[in-house]
Amino acid sequence: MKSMNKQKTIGGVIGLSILIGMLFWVVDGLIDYYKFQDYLRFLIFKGPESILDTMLLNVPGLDLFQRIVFFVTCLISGLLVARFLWKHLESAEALKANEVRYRRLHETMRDAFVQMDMGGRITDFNSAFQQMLSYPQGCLSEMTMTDLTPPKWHSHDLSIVSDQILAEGKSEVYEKEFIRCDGTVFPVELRLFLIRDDNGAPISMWAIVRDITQRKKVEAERERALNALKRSNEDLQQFAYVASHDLQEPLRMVSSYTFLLSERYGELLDGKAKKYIDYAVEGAVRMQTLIQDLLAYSRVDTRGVEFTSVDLNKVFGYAVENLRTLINETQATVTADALPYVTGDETQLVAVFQNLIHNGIKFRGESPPRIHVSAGEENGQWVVEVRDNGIGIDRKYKEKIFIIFQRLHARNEYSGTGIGLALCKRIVERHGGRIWFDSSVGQGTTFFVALLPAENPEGVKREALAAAYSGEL
Amino acid sequence: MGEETMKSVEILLIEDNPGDADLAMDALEHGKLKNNLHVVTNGEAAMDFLRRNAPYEKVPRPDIILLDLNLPKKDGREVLAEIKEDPSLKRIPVVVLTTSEAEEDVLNTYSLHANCYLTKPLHVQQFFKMVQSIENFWLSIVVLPPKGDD
Repeated sequence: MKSMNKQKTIGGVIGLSILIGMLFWVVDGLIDYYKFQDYLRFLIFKGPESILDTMLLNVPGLDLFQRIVFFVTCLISGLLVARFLWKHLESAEALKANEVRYRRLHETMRDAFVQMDMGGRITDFNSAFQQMLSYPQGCLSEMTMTDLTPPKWHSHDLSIVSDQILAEGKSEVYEKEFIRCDGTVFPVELRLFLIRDDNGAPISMWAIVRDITQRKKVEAERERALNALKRSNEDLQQFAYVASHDLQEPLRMVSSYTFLLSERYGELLDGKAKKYIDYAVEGAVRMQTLIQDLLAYSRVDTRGVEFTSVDLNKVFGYAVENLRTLINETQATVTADALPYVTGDETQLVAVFQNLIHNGIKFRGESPPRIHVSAGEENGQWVVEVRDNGIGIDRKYKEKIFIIFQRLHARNEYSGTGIGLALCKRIVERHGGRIWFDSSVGQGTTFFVALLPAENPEGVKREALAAAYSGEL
Repeated sequence: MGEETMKSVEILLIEDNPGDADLAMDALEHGKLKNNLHVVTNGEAAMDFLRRNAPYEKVPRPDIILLDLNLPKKDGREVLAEIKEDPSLKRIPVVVLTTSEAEEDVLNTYSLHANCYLTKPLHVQQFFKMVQSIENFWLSIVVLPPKGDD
């Protein structure tokens, strides 16, 4: 291409020089009109090689110096004109190449592109845009952007133009809707750019448009699911509260009056009657405890607080304080290594520690209970270990013991409703952690609780999204 | 002091559950102070009693009111509001004794100027202790407002 251009140009230079020379010659000749006729006769009979002769040697009134000046002037003019032409050709080539590239991009790109004048009339668009709006060929060129937009977006569009496009030359990505040829409305996301002329006046705008129907659907789904989850949690909490409240009332009556019966009329009753009453009272009291436990269980998520950085040493301290009486009574030894900071809800973590230590004491063997708490790092998490020297747990129960109200012993052997470990599991899972144990019968038990480390010791708040997304209800 | 200790304390118990009413009565009977317990079982009757409408024309003015929040006809919360808005009734101490432990109820009750809020305990022995505490505090230690213009 370029070498062809060069050749063209050189040819042009020479040709033009000659042309200009001839022009001078003609003009001069015209002054001596009659001499022109002679030259013409001369040309016809003598041929082209003599034109140069004639021009250079026989032009009347010119001496050698003038002829040289004349020739050089023609050459320079020719060069200047050629350069001008060359540049023009080059930029025409470049423009054409750009145009081809642009057109190709324009047609093949999957995002829809549309160009409009300052009045919103569509001046250009690509096939992606046409397909998106599903208008037949030719229709769109007669439409304005306003025609394609549902009325409720019109003022918003106008404010985008004035506030963003005219002010800053472009808009932020924003959402609106378009109307297809068949009348269906669909959501889009677009961004507009302003084109100015050489004086800086706005002459047109263009936009890249994306159909976000799919994305909107997914977002709506997620929104619905989250709301359903939130509602469900609230319903559960409400239900638990109302149920417990309304169940407590008759229970209070049963337990209060059976108690009063045995208290006030004890002398009138024989041993059997007293035993019957005791069973009734015991049943009622147990049910009351069960309801309390169930309420506590249901509140793990709804009454949980935002997570902060929690010092497990403090948590250990609180748990031990709460168990002080039991520890003294059973002469238990409860110790701990230095414990780390974790991300969590301090109150709930105290409940977990307290439950585990309490179990270690409750399910003791012959010797006084010894419980030790330590922590180690594993895969970026803190794993807390609570080890006891108690009666141990058969490994076959490794799932069962975490189920609510499941117990492994008769009521007269060991007290409790069977909610402790279920509660621990629920709390730990809300924290995005895990709880499991290792044990054999007669060999003591170690419970493991994996928790997320604190983000920094100063304390960083974190939503319990982990619980929501782990499917916990 | 002599005459006051011989005089019975008039207690108005507003409670719809007869079981709870009997328990309260039992607890007060075993208490130290002489008292007359009047029981009404719904909110409307409570206001009639306090305003001495029929059939309560001849009742005495209570020295203290024990109020349950969940009542039929007129809710305990409405009764509380009415008592504390009425200039002739608002000085009578109102002890709210209810099963609810909901935070909104506690907040609301104190906002309506109840004198105190008590949640009925689950075990009957604790309930007795509570009633006796009420007796000790409100009827023995506390100086009740004089029965002025009513």
